[in-house]
Amino acid sequence: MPPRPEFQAVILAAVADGDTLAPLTNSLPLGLLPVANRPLLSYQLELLTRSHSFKQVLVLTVERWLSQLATWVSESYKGPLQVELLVVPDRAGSADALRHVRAHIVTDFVLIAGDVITDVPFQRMADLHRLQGAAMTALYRESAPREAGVAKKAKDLDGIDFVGVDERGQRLLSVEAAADCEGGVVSVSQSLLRAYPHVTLRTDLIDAHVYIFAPWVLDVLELKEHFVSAKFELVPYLVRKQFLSKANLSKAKLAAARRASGAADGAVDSVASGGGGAPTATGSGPPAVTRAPSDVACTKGGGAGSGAVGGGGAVGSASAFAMAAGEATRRQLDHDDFRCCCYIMPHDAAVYCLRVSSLKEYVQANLDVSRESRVTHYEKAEASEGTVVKEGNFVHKSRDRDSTLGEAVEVAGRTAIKKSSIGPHCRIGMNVKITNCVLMDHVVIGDKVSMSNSVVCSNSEVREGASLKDVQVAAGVTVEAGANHKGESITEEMDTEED
Amino acid sequence: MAPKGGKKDDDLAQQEVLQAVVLADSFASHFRPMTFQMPKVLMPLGSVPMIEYTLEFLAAGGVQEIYIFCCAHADEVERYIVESDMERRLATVSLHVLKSQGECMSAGDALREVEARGVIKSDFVLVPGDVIANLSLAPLIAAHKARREVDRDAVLTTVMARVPASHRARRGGEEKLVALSGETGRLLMYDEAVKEGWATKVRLPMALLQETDRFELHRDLYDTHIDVCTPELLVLLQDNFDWQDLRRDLLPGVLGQFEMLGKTIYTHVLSTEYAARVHDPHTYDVVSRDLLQRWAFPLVPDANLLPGCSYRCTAHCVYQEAGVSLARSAAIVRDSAIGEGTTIGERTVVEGSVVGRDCVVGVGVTLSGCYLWGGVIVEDGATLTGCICGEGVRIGLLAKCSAGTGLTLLGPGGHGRLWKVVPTAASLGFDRPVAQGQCDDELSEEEDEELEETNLEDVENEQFATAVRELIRDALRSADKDDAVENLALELNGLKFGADRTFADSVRAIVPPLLAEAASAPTKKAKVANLKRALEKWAPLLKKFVQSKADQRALVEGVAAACEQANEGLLEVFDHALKLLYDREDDLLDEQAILKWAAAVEEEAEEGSLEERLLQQADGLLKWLRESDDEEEDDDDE
Repeated sequence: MPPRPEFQAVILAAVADGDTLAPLTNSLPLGLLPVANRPLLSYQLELLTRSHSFKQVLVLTVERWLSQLATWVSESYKGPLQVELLVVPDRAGSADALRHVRAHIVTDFVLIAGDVITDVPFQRMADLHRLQGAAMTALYRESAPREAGVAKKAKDLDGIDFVGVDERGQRLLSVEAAADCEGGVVSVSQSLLRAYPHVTLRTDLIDAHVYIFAPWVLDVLELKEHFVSAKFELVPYLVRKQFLSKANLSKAKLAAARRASGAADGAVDSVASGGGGAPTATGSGPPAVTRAPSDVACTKGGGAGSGAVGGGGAVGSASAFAMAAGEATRRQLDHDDFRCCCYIMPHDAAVYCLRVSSLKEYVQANLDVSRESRVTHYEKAEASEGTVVKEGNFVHKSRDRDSTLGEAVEVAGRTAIKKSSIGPHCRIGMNVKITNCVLMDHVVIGDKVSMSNSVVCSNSEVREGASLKDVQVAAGVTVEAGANHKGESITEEMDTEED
Repeated sequence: MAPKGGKKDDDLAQQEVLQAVVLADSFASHFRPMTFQMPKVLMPLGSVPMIEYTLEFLAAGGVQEIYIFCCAHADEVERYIVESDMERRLATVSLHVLKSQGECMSAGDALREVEARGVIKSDFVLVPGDVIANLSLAPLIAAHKARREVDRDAVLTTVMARVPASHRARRGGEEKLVALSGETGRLLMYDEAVKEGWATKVRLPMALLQETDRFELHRDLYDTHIDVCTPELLVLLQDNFDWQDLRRDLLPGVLGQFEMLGKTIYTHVLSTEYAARVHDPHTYDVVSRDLLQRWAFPLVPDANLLPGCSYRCTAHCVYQEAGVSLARSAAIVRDSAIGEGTTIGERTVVEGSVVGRDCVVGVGVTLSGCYLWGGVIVEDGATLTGCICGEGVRIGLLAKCSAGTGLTLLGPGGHGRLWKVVPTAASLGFDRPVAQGQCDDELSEEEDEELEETNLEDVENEQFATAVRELIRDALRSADKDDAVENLALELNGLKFGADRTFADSVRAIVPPLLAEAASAPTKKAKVANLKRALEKWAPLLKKFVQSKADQRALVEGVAAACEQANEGLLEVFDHALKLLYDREDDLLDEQAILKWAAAVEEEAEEGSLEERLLQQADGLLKWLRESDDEEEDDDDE
């Protein structure tokens, strides 16, 4: 039997809870949206590659984008991961999609939204998940602290989550979206406060939409057929159920126990085989694992053991293992308990995390990656200097260091490109000013065009003298000469405008 | 003597004199009858009067001027301060006793009077005279001053310690919910509601969450009652003359009127230091034990705060003064202190107890968790558990005093005068029987009395129920009139007063006859319809009598009783009746009451009894309620 991987990975490359990037995603799947001339999907694959924990990744898409993604994977993807494309029904939410691919998931799995660019040390998050034997671990980003003494305005709370964490900032105790708070009242259940008399409700955490789930969570999804979204329904449900009656989880638990008894063999095996490597550390481990009742706790104990031993390079893995054993013993006491955890990225750590869920964030992501090591740990895809030798091409003179330029870009004289990403094969005329823009491939910009905060999709053309500000130009569209657009979406039917 | 806070804190010394106010009165009556004769702060704790610890703590913290504010027994406090030569012993501190001149009913009044005296010139420390603490004041005051620099409106810094809700140091039923700002420690919410009144959810207005990024919600904070106050606070108290209690009135007042007053309160959370307040006999016991177990070091018995004390610590936290006469076979087990001149007889076992000076403990006595002050005589064979015995108490031969959960207070001077603290300390004063005579006989007599009383109660209830039944039967005949409900309510009310019944009693009596009619219908469906009609009509009446949570519970019991009567004809619609009441929009019955009733009945119900069947009947409803109690939106009755 080949060793079972500890974690599986699921990327939602074309499945999102709502489409906020139109018209950009009209002609491209979310996963192939270029950020600094690399598709979004490549960032997520690179994150998984860096953690060395994955061999295979499931990329979920819909029928419409399958061929495009398949082409990219087979032709352009050079990484070591084995990418498996799975088709889920159109308009499926994240939870729907998971339900659909259930048969492919056998162990703890990582769910990554297709719009996330992060270089979080995934190993840390996985360690937390293993140590706590969590049912779910969510990734949160801490926003920078505001100035002391300045109260937030009411509207600052719009769209944020109230996240309740324990003292150590590891357990996720409550999640409530501000939008769900009726009558401007946030509620915390007394049963939670009884179990955790000190809860910190944080308003400065932003959900990164990266989760690790235990496999039995899929059974919960089977039970709750109406759950559409992982973030908005599944996660709050799990978090809430930690401290409430487990009665209606019982079915899922039963199913989980059944699966666990199968999975436990593998897990215990791997502990035993890994045990030789770290004899002192494992001394207390195996008894705890084998004594654990054969339900979820067992898989978790085993998983924790194998993880800590396998990832020997991880900081303090020996002590981590001892803790894992302790946790396993404690879990025996209340074995029908399960935990939800969170990994919080501190705002001052050099860790990058951004979700490309709006046009503004998309432009920001381009800029951030273009700045490379000053902001993120990702490299932009750029034509190396000197490869373009065409006469009269000022491409390397006209750009600043916050910009990304693709291959074979042609730029005429006296043009300034600032904080922008220019896709491959773009042609840019004279006296053009491009600030904080994203140009996808094969875009043609005429002379004396001035653009800022705009996105121009593939094969579009902006003619001479046009002025664009906060504009999105869909693929294959021509913007007339001298046109003046501000805060619009320009799609194929020139007359219709979208918000 | 204990080490003094003589280390001059340059920072503080250069600034104005650091002042403190000690409230030598707790404005409560938990320690009666002891406090009839002496002030609470002079009650010995461990080996010395409580106020010694408080003053020692303040002096060690660098306080230079202490004002001791006394109301009850002011002269005695003053005399003690003078006679025990406290000022000279504390050396670095000037002591002033302020005697209350007017009526002083609360800490709020006391502070108003302090303000009127005009002695407070700057920020000061406010401590009740019964606080034992070893925390260091200097950093606390420095932090307070630093906060004042940032926030000029900060009027108060309260000190709280993290103590789990189930910890023994908590008073029974003391539960509070405190919310702090994670960044600054500003107090955002202070909710001292009793457990009963709390909903299943804590509801936080969004406005609070705008104040901070980290909203720290604590249910594990223990109020040490040590405050650092500003003179502005005194002005605030003067303006709001109705604020009595510093916690129940002042904190909610300042927090609630933030928009208007614009004042803020900060909370300092202790991590490792010890701080506790003696509220009542229970906490007296807990704090004494902490002292003996040296949690409050350097405040321990062998610090010998008073001149002439000679306690020495031996193994297992047993302290003895010189001149104790201990019989060979007597055993001092652990956590105990024995004062000078005390004689302890053969085969006597002392455990977790403090025996004061000049006590005589006889042969074969067992003392466990007892606090004997000076000159107590315990005769042979007595067994005392959890008692506080005042000066000169005499415990008779073979007497047995045990206190169960509460502590028994034996008044000073008397011959086995017994003061039993009824566990429900919240009940009214007259519920506490004072009995004379020998302890052992007394307790048993008392129990008998209680038994008889309950029987009597049953009879009275029965009579009342009969009267109500007749009244309602008459009323039902003329039920078509518009004002039937009003009239019946008036008459029932009269009956209630006449028989001296509570609302709950009335509800229990009213419900069965009201529903009795419905039982006569032949089918279940008809019964439900009848029920619905009856409840529709009489719900306003019930509403008048259902005043509290307890009454709601009585309502459920009433419905259960109704099912019992009329040949159990209503049994099959029990759950419908509850559901109908629950569904009413006027909050006649909430799920808590039903669930609590179910929980109570579940424990007692025997196999096949009526209660058991009622529970079965209501099973679906209960499940549903529990689900919705969990705010579970899903229907999981699949």
